[in-house]
Amino acid sequence: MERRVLIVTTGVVASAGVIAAWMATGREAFTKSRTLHREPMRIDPQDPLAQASFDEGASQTRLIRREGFRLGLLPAPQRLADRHALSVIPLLAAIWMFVGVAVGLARRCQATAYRTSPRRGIDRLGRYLKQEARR
Amino acid sequence: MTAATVPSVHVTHGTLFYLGEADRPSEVVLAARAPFEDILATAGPVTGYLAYDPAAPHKGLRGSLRVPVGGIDTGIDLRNDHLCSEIWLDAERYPEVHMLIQDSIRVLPVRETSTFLTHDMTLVGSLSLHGRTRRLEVPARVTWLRHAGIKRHGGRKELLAVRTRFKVGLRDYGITGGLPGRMIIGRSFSESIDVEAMVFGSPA
Repeated sequence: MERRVLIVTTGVVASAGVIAAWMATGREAFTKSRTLHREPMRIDPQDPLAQASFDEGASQTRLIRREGFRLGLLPAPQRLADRHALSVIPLLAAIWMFVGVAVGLARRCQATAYRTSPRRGIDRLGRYLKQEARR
Repeated sequence: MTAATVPSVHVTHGTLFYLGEADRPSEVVLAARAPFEDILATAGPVTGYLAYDPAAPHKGLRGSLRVPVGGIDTGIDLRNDHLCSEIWLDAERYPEVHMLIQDSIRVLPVRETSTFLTHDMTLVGSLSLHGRTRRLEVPARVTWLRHAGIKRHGGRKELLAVRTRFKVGLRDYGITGGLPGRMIIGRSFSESIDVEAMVFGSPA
């Protein structure tokens, strides 16, 4: 029982770590190494184009490119060995598959240990004696 | 590109402002709705020229602009590969997007001084993409500066700046985004792409 709790707890902690990494790197849908997004633009009043009203009525935003790895929900690898293959959904699937297999193995080991231990004989004798007493 | 390769109708229209000669980089931003996250992309480098006569701004603008399909960056290399593939823009067969400006109509002055001219106008021409050419009419703001001005923006050259925003319907250019019967354009992917361009040119 204790071993299974330990395995599940490890799975929960690992999953929380993956989700925390996703949230900390911008909650992107896809794993990426650079992001493009719009930011409000500060128009320089000294700029001759601004003085000529070129920017008037424009969107007043500019496109910013930021470099840096961002863990996404879904993978976007170009090749097999590509760090963009890492992403939240496959990582969570791998963690919980591992947890499932580990818990199954732990239960099996526990059952085997019980079957071959003197404790099992004592339990069976106890049940038998209880039944006899009821009669 | 040199004046020798520019059509005479553009050479006689006015001064040729080459995009590579300007001290400011031209920028094309594309936006589209897509599954899971909207796409924001840049396209470049933009090459070509604009013909404009500051002495007769009412004649508007003419020119030719080219953007390589392989120069479109969506921020994800895998998505860039998809975009260049056969079911999207087919970069191997159609490596360039070409915008030809043949005329300008509805030219309206915004501000005019001895050092700059700003006009709003409608550019008339065509857009070639994915092997198809369609007529295009887009609103634009055009500013001519006698000199680019303050030093941090580069030398004292003339500068022509053009800003435009328009939509490109993907079906018009035969872009389906999928195999027949499994087209995603108009379903999970938007029917059109929003294009926002800001281009700068200076005389050679």
